[in-house]
Amino acid sequence: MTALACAVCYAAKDDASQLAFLIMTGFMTGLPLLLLGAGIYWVVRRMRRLEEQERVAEAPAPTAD
Amino acid sequence: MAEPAQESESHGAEDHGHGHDDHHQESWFIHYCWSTDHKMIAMQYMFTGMAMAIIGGFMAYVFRMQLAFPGIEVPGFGQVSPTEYNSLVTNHGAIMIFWVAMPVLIAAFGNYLIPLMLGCDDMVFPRLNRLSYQIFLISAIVLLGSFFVEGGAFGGAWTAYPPLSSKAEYNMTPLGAPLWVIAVGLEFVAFLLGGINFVTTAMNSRAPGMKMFDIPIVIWMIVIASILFMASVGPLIAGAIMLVFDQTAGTGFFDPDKGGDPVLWQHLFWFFGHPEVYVVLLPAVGIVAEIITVFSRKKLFGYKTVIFTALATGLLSFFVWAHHQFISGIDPRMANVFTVTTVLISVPIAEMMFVYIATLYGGSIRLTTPMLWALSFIFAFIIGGVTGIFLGASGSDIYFHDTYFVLAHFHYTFYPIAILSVFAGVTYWYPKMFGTMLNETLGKIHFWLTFIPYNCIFIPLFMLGLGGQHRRIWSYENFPELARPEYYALREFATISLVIMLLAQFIFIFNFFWSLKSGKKAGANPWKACTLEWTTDQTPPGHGNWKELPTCYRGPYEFSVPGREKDYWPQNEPEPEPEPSAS
Amino acid sequence: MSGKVLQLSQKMPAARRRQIAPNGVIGITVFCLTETMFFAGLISAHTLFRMQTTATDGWPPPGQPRLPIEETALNSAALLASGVFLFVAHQRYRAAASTAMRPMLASLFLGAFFVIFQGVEWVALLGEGLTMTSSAHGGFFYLIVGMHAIHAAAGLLVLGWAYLRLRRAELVLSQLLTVEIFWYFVVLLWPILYWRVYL
Repeated sequence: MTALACAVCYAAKDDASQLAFLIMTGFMTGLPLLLLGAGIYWVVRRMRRLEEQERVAEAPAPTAD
Repeated sequence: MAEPAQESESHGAEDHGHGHDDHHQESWFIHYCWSTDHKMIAMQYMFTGMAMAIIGGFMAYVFRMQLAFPGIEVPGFGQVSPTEYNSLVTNHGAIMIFWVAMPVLIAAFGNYLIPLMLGCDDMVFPRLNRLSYQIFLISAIVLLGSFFVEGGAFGGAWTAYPPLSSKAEYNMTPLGAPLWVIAVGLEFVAFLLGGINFVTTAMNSRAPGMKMFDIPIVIWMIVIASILFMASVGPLIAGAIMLVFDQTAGTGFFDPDKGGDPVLWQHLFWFFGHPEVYVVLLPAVGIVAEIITVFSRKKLFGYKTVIFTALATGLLSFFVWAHHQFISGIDPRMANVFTVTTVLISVPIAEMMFVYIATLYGGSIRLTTPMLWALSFIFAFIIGGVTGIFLGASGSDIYFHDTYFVLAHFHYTFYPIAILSVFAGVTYWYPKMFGTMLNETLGKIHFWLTFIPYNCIFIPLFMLGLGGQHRRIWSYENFPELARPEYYALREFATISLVIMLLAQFIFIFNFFWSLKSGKKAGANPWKACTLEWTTDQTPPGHGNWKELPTCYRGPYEFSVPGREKDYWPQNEPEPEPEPSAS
Repeated sequence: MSGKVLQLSQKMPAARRRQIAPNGVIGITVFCLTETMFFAGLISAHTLFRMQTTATDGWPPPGQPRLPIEETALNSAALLASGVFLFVAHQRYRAAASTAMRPMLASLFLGAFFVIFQGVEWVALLGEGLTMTSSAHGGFFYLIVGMHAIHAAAGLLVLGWAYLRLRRAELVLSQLLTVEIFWYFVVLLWPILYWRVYL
C-alpha cells in the first residue's frame, strides 16, 4: 500500500522511476560542468591568443627573427 | 531578449564617455530613479536591500516572540495566528536570501565596485542595468503586495515544496502562492540581466594593462558568483513556471494524481538552491579578502589559490544539491554519492579560510570597524561550515533533518554572508560612496551589540535542535516533550538576544545618516588601499568616475613592498625606474 | 566590412583595454548558457515523466492523441534550413554586406513559417483533446514546445531588427554575431526537443 502524496512511497514505486532519477541527476550534474568547462577553455585560449597578438604588435620588428 | 543586441556597440568606456565634464541638467527623478549610472543603480539596490532587511528582521522579531512567549500580543504586530506565522517564516527566508543577500552583495557591490575597480566609467550595458533594477523593484513590490491579498502571503516555506505550494486547498493562499512564485521569478530575471552585465564588463572593460590576475579578488568572486547563478538558475525558472501552471491553470506537473512527481520540484529547486549558497558566499568572502589584506598591510597569501578554490567551489556546487533531500525518498545510492561530494566541497572553502588566516599571520593588524566585521565573518562562517559536515553526512542528517540544528547551521552561514560581510563592505566603502568617514566609536559599539547577541541567538538554537525541536511549528504547547521549561528558557534567551540585536541596528542607521552630514571628510584613500577605486579624482566619484581613465601596472595587493617608502603601492602608479623595454 | 571586430581595438590608445570578444557576443553567450540550463531542466523533468510512464503504461500515454511526428519533421527541416540560410548570410556579409539581405530574408521567412505552422498544429491538437490539463503529457508538450516557440518568436524579432539595420547599411558584425548566436541556439535546440518530446 502506498500513499501517492508521500514522496518516499512514490519514488520507491518502481525501478524505472529510480533509474530515471539517477540518469537525469547525472545529466544535470554533467551539463553545467561541460558548459562551464567549455566556456573557461574558450576564454583562456582567447586570452592567450590576444596576448600573443599584442606581443607581436608591440615587439620591434628586427627582434622577430 | 533583444536588449543585448541594441547595446552591443557601446563598449563601455569609450563611446559612452563623451561630455562627462559638462554637467547636464537632470531632473530629480531622472537622477535618482532613471539613472543608468552604475553608482546610482548600486545605491538603489543597496537601499532597497536594506529596507527589505528591516522588513525581514521585523518578521524574525514577530515569530521569535511567538515562539518564546506563545500567544503573546507581539508589540507592533498583535497576536500571531498559525497562518500568519507560516507566511512570516516563509517570507523571512525568501526576503533575506533573494531580496537582501542577493541585491546587496551581488547587485549593489557588484555595480558599485566592478567599474571602479576595473578602471572604466560604467557597465557595458547601462540600460540593461537600469532595467535590471526596475524589474527587481517590481519583484519586491509584488512580494510585499502578496501580504495584502485575500488569503494572505504564501506560507509554504521558502522552499515551496508541492503539494503544499501547488494546491490552494492545502496552503490556503490562492493568490499569495502564485504571487510569491512570480516575485521570485521576476527577481531571477533581474539578476540574470545584472549578471550578464557583470560578466561582460569584467571580461571587456578592464583598465589597460590589467591582466586577469590583476583583478581584485572581490571582482573575481562577484563574476564567478554571477556565472554560477546563471548556470544554475535555469532549472528553477523551469520549475517555477511549472509550479505557477500547477497553481493557476490546473496542470499536474507535480501532482501524482495526474502523472506528475512532487520530488521533481525538490530536484529543480535544490539544483539552484545549493549553488545559490555559494552565489552569495563568494562575494562575501571577496569583500572579506579585500578588507583583511588592507588592514593587515600584507599581500594576500595565495591570490591565485583563492581564485582557484572559488572556481573549484563553484564547479563542485553543481553536484551537492541532493543533500537537502536525504529523507525525501531519493535513491540511497544517490545519497551516498551526494554525501561524499558534500563533504568534499568543504575542502576548497576550508582552504580559502586558511588563506585568510595566513594573511593575518604576521601582519600589522589595525582593528578598525570593517576589520572587526571581516574577522567576525571568518569566525562565524567557520562555525557554520563545521556544523554543516554533520548535516552533509546522510546518516546523521536523518536525525538532524528539519530540526533547529539545521536552522542554526544555515544562520551561521547566511548571517555572516548577508549581514556581517555586508556591514564589513558598507563600513569599508562608505568613505568612497559618500565622501565622509563613519564614526568609529559608534561603529564599534554597533559591531559588538550585533555580534554578541547574534551568537546568543543561534547557539541556543543548536542546543534546541539537538534536543529534537522541529522547524516551522507555530507553538510547541501541544508537544509536551518540547514544551518543557528548560526549552522555553533557551527560546526566551534567543528571542531577547534577537530584540537586543535588532535594537542595536538603530545605532548603525543613526551613524549612517549622521556621518553623511557630520562625518570627517574622507579624502580619496582613507584606508591606504591599492585598488583602483581609491584613485578617483573626486570622492565620491563623479559621473564617469575618472577624468582620465587609469592604467594598471600591478596586482591589487602590493602592501609593504620592501624598499618602498610607503607601505602600499596603488595599482595605477607607474614604475619609478625607467621601464625595461618589452624585449 | 570583415574588419569590424578588429576595428574595436583600432580605436583604442596605445595601452589597450583587452576585449575578449564584442560585448554583445559575450552577453548573449552567457544568456544562452542560462537558457540551455533552463531547457535542460524542462527536458530532464519531461524525461523523468516519460521513463516512469513508459514503464507503467507505455509510450505515448494511453488515451492521448498521437503527436504529429511527420508534419513536425517537415517543420523542423524548415527551421534548420532557416539556420543554414543565416549562416550563408553571415558568409556573404563578410564578403559584401548588401548580398546578405536575401539569405537573411529567407531565414526570417522560414523561421516565421516554423512558428506559424507550429501554431496551426497546436490548434489541431487542442481539437483532438490534448490540452495542458488533460494530462501531464499534454502539460509537458505545451510547456516545452511553447517555451521554444516564445524563444523562436523573440529570435524572429531580433532577426527582423538586424535585417532592417542591414537594409539601412547600419548593421555591424558584432550585432550580426549577437543575433546569430541567439538564432543558432533556437535552431539547434529544436532537434533535441523534437527527439525527446515527439519521437
